[in-house]
Amino acid sequence: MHGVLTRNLLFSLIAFSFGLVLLAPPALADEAAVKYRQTVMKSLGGHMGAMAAIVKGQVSHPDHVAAHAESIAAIGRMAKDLFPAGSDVGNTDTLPAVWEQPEDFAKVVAEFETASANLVAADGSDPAALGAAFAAVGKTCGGCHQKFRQKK
Amino acid sequence: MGQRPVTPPRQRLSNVPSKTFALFLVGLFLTSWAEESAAEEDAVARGKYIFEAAGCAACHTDTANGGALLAGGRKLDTPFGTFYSPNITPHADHGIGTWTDDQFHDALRHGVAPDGNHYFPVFPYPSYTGMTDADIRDLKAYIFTLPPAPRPNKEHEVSPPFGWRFLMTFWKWLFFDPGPLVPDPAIEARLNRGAYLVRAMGHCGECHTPRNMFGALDQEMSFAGTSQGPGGGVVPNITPDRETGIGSWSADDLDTLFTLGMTPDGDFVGGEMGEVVENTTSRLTPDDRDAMIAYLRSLSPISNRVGRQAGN
Repeated sequence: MHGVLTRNLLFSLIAFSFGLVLLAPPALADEAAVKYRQTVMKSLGGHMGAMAAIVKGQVSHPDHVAAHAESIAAIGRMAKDLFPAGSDVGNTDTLPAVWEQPEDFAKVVAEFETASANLVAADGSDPAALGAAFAAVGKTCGGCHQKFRQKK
Repeated sequence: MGQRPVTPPRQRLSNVPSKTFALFLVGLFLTSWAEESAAEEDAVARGKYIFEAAGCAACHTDTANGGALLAGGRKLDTPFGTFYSPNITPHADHGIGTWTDDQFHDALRHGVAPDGNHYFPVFPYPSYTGMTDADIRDLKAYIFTLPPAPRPNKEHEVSPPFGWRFLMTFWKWLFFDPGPLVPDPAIEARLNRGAYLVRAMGHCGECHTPRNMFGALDQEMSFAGTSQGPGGGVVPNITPDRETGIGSWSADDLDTLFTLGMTPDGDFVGGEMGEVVENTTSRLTPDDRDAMIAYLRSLSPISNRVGRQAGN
């Protein structure tokens, strides 16, 4: 009788430990995915902010325009990979709508990709054209945040 | 040159004045008609600008579900229950198509419906009450040019006692001061214009000021932000406090936010503020934007930290 109980207890303990081991890695991976997304988004914000200073004429760095635009466009191509299933854990502002309405989400991500590619193509020496292309990228940022990010 | 036959003087005398008089009458009619329609056109044009500055479209349009402009039905979750904005298109049955100018005025100035019922302060009349008579009149003129939508209104889902409209009488007595915003002679005209745009038309405080347990704005904490904004969201402190507000933002940073929707760290606002930028602040004249910015920067800083840690 005692033997059975001890064995059952032992089995449960072992199963439980296995469960912990099995559960832990995906949870950590999801948190890492969230953290990665936030880091990439922050660098996007850095390039957008820097580009804004150039577009508004606060600083004069005509040679930097292409590098910022290409960085923004590179993130534009990454954006669709930043929201893997399960990356809705912990300290995230991403709304469940990202995974609940995948078609709508894919659409706004594609709009961002297109607008950021257009920014690269815009004539950096023409302030009006650059400003318009930059504003168009910003519109896609705001449009996505409107629907798919918790307001803050 | 021979003399031409002339019409008998008597005829001329009787004819000319009556023709002149008729022409004068026609002219008078045409002039007043033209003046009237020109004045009406001006009112509609001014009203369109007021409509944008007052941000009517966002709450009264169920954009997320493809609702028609101003047809209402947008859901607003609050600590007091769920509200659905009403149809304010000029539809005679489902909208406000039968409202007189006075009824429209009473709704904005006093928060009173044509049937005498009090509105819940989810309709920001505690802010709109500060608007001038002329602006309220022009706003109605514009709204009545928009297409009527046949969408029926949906009842609010508010639990007692907050759902009892008669209690609004007491609420108003406690918390509501009706009347147009009086310009402060001690400050420059630009700041007064800014105050009018921020406090009355723009109703910024309706989200950026925390509310007390009765849903009234806590005036002591005006514009200091809240962690329990509409829909349970975090609404930032927009007083010029350096630590917890926007004290470190330059006037130009604010202009970038109001035109592009971008914050100084390169982030782009979404949510309600995204709509505000799109529907309101980016459509203001540069002078009005400057006035808003100057007024916001002139507020007394209030230290109030809101919200969670930032994330994406």
